[in-house]
Amino acid sequence: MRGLCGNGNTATGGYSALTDPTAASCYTIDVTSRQYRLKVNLALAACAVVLAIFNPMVTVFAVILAANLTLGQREDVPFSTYGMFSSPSNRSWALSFEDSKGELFPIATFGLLPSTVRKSFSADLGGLGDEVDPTEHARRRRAVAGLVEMVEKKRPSFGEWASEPITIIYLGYQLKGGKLVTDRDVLAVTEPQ
Amino acid sequence: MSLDIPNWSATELDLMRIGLGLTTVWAFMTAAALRPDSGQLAPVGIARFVNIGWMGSRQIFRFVQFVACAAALFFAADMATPYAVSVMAVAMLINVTFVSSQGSVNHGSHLLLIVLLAEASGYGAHALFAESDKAEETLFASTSAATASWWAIQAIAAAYFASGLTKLVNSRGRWVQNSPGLLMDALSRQETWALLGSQPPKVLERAANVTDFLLRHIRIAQMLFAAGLLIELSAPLGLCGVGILALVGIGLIALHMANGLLLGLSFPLYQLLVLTFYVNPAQLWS
Repeated sequence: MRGLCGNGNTATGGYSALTDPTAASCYTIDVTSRQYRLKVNLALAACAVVLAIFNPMVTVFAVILAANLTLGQREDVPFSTYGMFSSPSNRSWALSFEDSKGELFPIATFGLLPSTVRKSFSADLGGLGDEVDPTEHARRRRAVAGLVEMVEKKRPSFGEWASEPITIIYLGYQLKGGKLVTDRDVLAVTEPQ
Repeated sequence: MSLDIPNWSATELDLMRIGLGLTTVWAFMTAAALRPDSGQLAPVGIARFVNIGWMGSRQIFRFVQFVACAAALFFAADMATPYAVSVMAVAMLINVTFVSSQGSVNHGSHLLLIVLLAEASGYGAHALFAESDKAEETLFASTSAATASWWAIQAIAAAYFASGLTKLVNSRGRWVQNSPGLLMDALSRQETWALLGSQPPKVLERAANVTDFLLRHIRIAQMLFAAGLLIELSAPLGLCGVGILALVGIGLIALHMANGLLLGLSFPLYQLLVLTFYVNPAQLWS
């Protein structure tokens, strides 16, 4: 993955400083961390089992903890490592939608949830090869094509939104030297065909 | 401070049972009735071995919901308790597994599920082994209800402790240092709330103000996040006595409320379970 820090939940592979030259100030984890996590979690699970042997009173605690740290790594319900927000990144991003007056456009009225459009855009961005479009802005503009198509497919054929141009904006947030740096990048203006 | 199973009164145990029963009813009543019809996109847990794609049917979900709620009410009323909690656990396991097998895991009901499984196992194990000569005294309390509650409390402690450990492991011990990054997530989440119109303007404004304050005071942000991590890691200390249990419980609820304010993730089921088993108003008043 390049150019995106994700939303803080990088437990299953997220931002890597090794592949992004702009990430010098990013708080990062390295690409071997999955293996590292596996080893550490296995060691901790073994400690939990030893704890149960020496103090049977906390057997249930130890067994569930061990299961969380081992089976939970693959999110095998009901066990989990609860990895959400466990690798905070100093970057995050969101997509915003605005109408022609610059007002926030309620994209959910099209039946599109922010999480859906975010995943779609993120997947399209990840699908771009490393060799094309060296700048992040250019990459985002290429990746937004799928999203434009998605919005137009969902656009109602009548009513107030039928002909309203919708602007898709990338909002980037970065904590740089303790200061917030925001990046507002207009990716596309979609209009009915 | 000692590692003894608390000597709960009947009222305290009743409150835990009723609290768990009603929490389960609430969980099922608020579970989404609209089901994805795509089967199991990314199976997890038992879905790796058994196809539970049939849970995508709205009719089947309604049936499971009805059975689980009926069992929860039986459980709350202390009728056929071990069987009722087993039915609740199985119903919750199937539902949570199905929901989490759609490509992204939803942790909203995880704690309830693990508590129900611990309770069901507690009742079952107590009935089978508590009276036997080989029974390990420390595993079982004097009654099956007390054993089940003790196991549930341990399950909750294990979940929070695992969450705390994961933060340390995944960040290689630098979680507190990196924690201001969570404010970036807060910003993108607030943008999402605005898009969805899911939060009243006052809530959005308050969250934005808190985020803004913390961004201007990174050290304070780090201290607050460190306190949250410490609360998670201190969950097992609750096993040392009811007083500490209540203190840890209050800390955990405060943590969830702060998460709700900043990130919109208040995990109400978690708060209810902690209130029921850790804080337990009956033990505070006794």
